[in-house]
Amino acid sequence: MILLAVIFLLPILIGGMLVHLLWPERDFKILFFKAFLGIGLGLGLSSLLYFLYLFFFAGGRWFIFVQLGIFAILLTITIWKERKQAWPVLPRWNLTRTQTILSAVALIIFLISLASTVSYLLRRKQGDWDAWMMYNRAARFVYRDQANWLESFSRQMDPIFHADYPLLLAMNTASGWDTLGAETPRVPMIQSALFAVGVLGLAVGALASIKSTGQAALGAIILWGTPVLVNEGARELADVPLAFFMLATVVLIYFYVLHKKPALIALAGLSAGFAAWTKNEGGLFVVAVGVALTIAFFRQKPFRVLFFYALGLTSPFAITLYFKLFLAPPSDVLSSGAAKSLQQILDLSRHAEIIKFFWNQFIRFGSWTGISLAIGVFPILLTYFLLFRSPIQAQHRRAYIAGITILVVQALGDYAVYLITPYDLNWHLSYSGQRIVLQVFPLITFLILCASQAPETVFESNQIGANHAARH
Amino acid sequence: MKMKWAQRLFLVLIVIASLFASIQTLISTKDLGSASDDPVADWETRFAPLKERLPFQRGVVGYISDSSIPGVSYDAANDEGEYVLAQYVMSPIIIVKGTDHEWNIGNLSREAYKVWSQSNVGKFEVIAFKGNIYLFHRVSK
Repeated sequence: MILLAVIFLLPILIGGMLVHLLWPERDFKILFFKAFLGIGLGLGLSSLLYFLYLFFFAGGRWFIFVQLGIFAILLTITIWKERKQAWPVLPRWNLTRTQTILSAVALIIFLISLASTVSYLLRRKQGDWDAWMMYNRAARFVYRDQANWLESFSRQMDPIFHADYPLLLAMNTASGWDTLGAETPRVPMIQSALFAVGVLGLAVGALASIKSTGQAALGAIILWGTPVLVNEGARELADVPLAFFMLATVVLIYFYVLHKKPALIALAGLSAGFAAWTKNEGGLFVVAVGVALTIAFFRQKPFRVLFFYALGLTSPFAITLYFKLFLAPPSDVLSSGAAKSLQQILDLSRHAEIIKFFWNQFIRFGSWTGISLAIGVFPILLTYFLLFRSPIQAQHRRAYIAGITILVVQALGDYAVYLITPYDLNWHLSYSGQRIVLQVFPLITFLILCASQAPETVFESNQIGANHAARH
Repeated sequence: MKMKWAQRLFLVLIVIASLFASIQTLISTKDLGSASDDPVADWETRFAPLKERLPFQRGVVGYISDSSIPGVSYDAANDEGEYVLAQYVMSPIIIVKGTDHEWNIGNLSREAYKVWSQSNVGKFEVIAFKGNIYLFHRVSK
């Protein structure tokens, strides 16, 4: 049990220290955000390192010492850099009534949804369908025959098992088993739960820092009150981890707009690179972020921003490209061939079917069950935005331009994939469409809540909270 | 002022709906079955004797199920699910559909096995396991 905790604590602490060294901001809310950012970046880094380790030491079974070495180095540097710094001042909890009530409700919802996640994981110890088919299966191939781990990407494997899928989850699972010396389902279970909690922590930390405590609590209420996010977070699939990296990237761009620290763009690049290492849609996301940064910072040294983005992106994306180009079998989604793809693109009924499907997703995605609501979370968010919208400060505008551009490019890319899919379109949409929307749901929620007034402004007329919220 | 009340009401509705939905989500996890059940582990147990009989621990084996046998009725979703589970438990052995390989797995109902065996007399050595699982060793082309 202790070793199980260690195999997750090490990457998380490595991620947290890396983030802190690159962005030594000491505000308590930012520290909270960085702690959750460290979960994803640490697990991403650990996964990449294990992939590289296998090339040279497959069968060695001492990866934990690589992690311990990196941890020791980062800890030494962190202690050295922090030696003259005062301890961060804990915030004084002078919450207003609105903030207290919303935080209490958010905490209750968090605990209930955490119980749901645990209950789901315990009843589906090996994850759900796609986990058996792709992520945990790939981990088994690597762990069970480590000396021949490259056989995991054999072209003989049926394309439905997606041996071409990026390896972030599978590598972490295999390395966990490797360290434990046993193939326990607890490793993918904990990894799944960590990303589920991580995506919430990112949103809460960012909203608390950028907007207010009340808005952060509302973000938690909306995100973890949405059943599809809670359930998907427990299925041991890659969609919530991808949502984590997408949200992290955009929040880091937002913080860059506010703080102008190039390290933040480098961290955004790292996060986008890990998105590509998580799922194929992450490759599209890397491009979307590049386009978004070019557009958003067109009048403000775009090459400097793109340079730092590339700096963070290079390692994870280069490894992902190496995997996709030289190891992985070809992707089945692009297997239709040019002539058939063109025919499918020109087929108007396919366009109509895709648009209709995503319109239905817009109306019904994440419908809050139990209250027989036929309406999903997006119309609720849109109504919230219309009721609470606040003027966006000029200095924040670039963050929204970047965020919205990313969403548009990502949507267009996903749309194109459905157009040319070799599978039955109806089946492919219903199989994966909801999860495609899920990947951007936390990001959309974050952008909408950032662009809206905080709850403090409508419940409190002249209290601290209202003033605090109005500051933003 | 009316706007402020509309905003307040909407916030309260969001909070109530979210709270209610989270409780419903927790309750609905009961539908996933008991925490003591692990159908995947059961499947693993089912395939364990077959794996032991294979003369190798990695490589490629064929796989057929009821859907591979013409004229036999089957549940398409179950059939596909069992194929996925078979690959999952057989890892790192790769399974491919068909019986073109030297070693092949049959996940066949009694009826399907009967039909299959009638049309493959003398081609395979058959090793039967519990749970309608068969290992077919090709003895002739």
